[in-house]
Amino acid sequence: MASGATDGSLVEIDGVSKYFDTAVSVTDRLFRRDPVPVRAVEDVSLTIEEGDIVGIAGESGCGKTTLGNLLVNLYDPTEGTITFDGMDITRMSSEEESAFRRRVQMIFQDPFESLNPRKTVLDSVVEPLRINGIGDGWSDRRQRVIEALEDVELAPAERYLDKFPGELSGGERQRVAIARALVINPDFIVADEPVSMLDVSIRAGVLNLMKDLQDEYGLTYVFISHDLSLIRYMTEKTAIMYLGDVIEYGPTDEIVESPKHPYTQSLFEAVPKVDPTLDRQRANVTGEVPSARDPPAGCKFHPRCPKIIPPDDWTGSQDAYRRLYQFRYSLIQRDLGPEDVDPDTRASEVDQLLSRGLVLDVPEEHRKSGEDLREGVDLDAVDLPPEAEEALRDAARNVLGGDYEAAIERVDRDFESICSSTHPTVPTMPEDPPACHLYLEETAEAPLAEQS
Amino acid sequence: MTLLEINDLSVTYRMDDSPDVRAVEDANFVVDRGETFGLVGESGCGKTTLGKSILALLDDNGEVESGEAWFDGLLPEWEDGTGAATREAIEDPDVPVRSDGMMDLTALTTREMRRFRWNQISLIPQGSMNALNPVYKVGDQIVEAIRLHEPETTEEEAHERARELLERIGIDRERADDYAHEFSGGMKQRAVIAMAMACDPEMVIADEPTTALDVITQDRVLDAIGDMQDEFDVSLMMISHDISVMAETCDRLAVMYGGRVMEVGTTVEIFEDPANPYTLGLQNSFPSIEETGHRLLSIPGTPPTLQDPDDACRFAERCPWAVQQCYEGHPPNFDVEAAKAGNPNREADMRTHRSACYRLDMLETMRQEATEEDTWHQEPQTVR
Repeated sequence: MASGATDGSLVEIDGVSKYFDTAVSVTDRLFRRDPVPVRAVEDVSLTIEEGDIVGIAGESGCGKTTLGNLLVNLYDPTEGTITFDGMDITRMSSEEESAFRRRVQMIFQDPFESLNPRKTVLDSVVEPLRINGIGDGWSDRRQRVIEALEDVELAPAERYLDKFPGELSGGERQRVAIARALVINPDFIVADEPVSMLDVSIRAGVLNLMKDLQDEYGLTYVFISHDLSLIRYMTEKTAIMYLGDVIEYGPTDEIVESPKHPYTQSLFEAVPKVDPTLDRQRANVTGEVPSARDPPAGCKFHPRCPKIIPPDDWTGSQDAYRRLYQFRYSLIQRDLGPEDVDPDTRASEVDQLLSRGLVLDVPEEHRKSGEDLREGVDLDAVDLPPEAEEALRDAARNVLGGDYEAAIERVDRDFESICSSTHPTVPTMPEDPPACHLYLEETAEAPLAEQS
Repeated sequence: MTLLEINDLSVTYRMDDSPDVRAVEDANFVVDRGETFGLVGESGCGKTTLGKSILALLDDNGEVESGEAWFDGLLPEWEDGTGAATREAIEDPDVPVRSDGMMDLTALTTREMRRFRWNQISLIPQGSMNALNPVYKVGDQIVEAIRLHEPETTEEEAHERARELLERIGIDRERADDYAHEFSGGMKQRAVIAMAMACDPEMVIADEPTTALDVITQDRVLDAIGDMQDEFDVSLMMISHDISVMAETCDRLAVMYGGRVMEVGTTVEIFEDPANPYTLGLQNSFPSIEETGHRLLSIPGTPPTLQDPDDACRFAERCPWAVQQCYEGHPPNFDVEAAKAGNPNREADMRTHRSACYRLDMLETMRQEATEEDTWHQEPQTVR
């Protein structure tokens, strides 16, 4: 599989973060505040072995494209290091950098944009050879281009050499983009959504081609996609990202067949099934992805998680606890307040806040009967333990008085979850457990014990 | 009960210096009341053009060349069995009205169409799920839609209706006074749906409603669309390239390719009993989350150009089973069961499983061969 080398890691990502908008902007100066950066990638550590095909999956904004760009050194990490074949790519000399460029290539999503419309196929594909000083004169380079084109099944290549991108179909263009990446015989390719612009009937050809070329060129691939079916088809290992974190990493088949992290589970629940006779349950996730400028504390998924972990002494149901935490998160987001109270209703203001705050924004099949976002939820249907209800009522009174900090503190005093207080350890190797306290609780004890 | 009957509909785009583009040709299918009907196909297959032609929303250079789009249920009192009331209600005497009270949408004048659009069929355009104007109040945007299509409604009535619509689609009525930027993504999508329902239409056409959405968001949009159908009892025409979304949402499907409807049937028929070489090819070309191991098959070649296409079956060039007859003319939609038995019937019932293929007598063989890679790659692909 790998090109002669022994087993070992090719790429080591170590504690890498990438923040955008870290500079102080005009509005920041105006309001005398610190800039709030977008935390696109946060503290990611992953090892990619030689010959691996690693998928990076997640929804838009999860940081997968940023991570891909970091891997090919299009961005400098804000923190952490990336080593490629033992070389720190964040501190390369110019010779090292040109060696790196010869070994690492990227295939972009949009073949309509990644190829210069005024350059012929030959000019486009020969360019990386020229830039990297590979090949022995014009005719040798032309020959290499022809071989690369034939490898991507654009045959006979001579008929394509003088064509412009505008004369090619989408599938042909993406093949040219792949030929351009392959022509310098790289070791490592990062492909970012390489087929998402292509029609279904053409897609399969490009996917198969990428698979076949992996053997032929001894490539290591990182395949970035939001499409979980493609990830499954193409990759051996998969990293799932959420709000800049890698939350689960493992063999693709295992992740698809028995996803562990509640977010991964939700992702797969949401994939439509091709079998029209199946009845699928909708994903039981609360609300929407929060902003990457201000991600939730602890596990970033905790405000949406159907499996948030109550404290050990919680006596109510997990559903009631999830609702209590929803209430808490609405306070943190300042989404719940005096404006949600209707003075003309008979229910007390506190009752109204509770009823609204305990609602879960989930698909209908996961709601309680009669529950909806506008009416709130029937308090009797939520089995809050008396002391929890008391805490929430105190918090509601604080909110009505405008004191959110006190309200949150009141809830946290007895009912804080490990999911919001502690960021779970993230996986760095495929055998590591997911970044979820459900799987980490026992192991987390060990290092603490060692420290003392 | 039939709500919309597309009969041999052809749509052409006129080009300045080059031959016309025959974007849709001889499409025919029916959509029943309360049904979810899907138009599925790759880019350029004509699905969006077909949807737009029903509402006379084609670009300036596009026109319905021939055929009709018969629509029922304009107003209950028009259904008197003779079509006379419909005739009366429509000012233009040139609009064809059938004895069953159905009238041809393609013959409506611009003025008539403006009255009809939104009241009877509304459109959720491509990309609109994120397209509320952030600087207007959401309620005002719905009011605008109502007042534009029902000028006789008062401002006050329209506001009340907007609040009611939001409520019915699962949003607090008071939120009508919020600006769109104050809405969460899911609420915006529901508000867009409320806007489509503003004038209580019989049918909604949703063009790629989930394209470019993330999978969990898509899940929520599909949920909202389902709620809409339950709440308003409306027919839905879904236009999408996403095969799995269509499998899950639609009752019946039309598979389009190169401007032609290649196969029509219930969703179960299309997926479990596919009867067209193009559908067979598609089925083996996209990965499924449940399956591993089997290699995807690509269909060599590319979709045909629709500028002045030749008479052949649109798929013939890429079809492993094409014979001489396939190059002589595009096949009509045959009744699949009858054709399998060797009695191709050109006048197949609109509700049966139909397929545009001359070779349905060897369907079983085609199905078997379609799963083998060699079948699709008999000849090397050539550049034209």
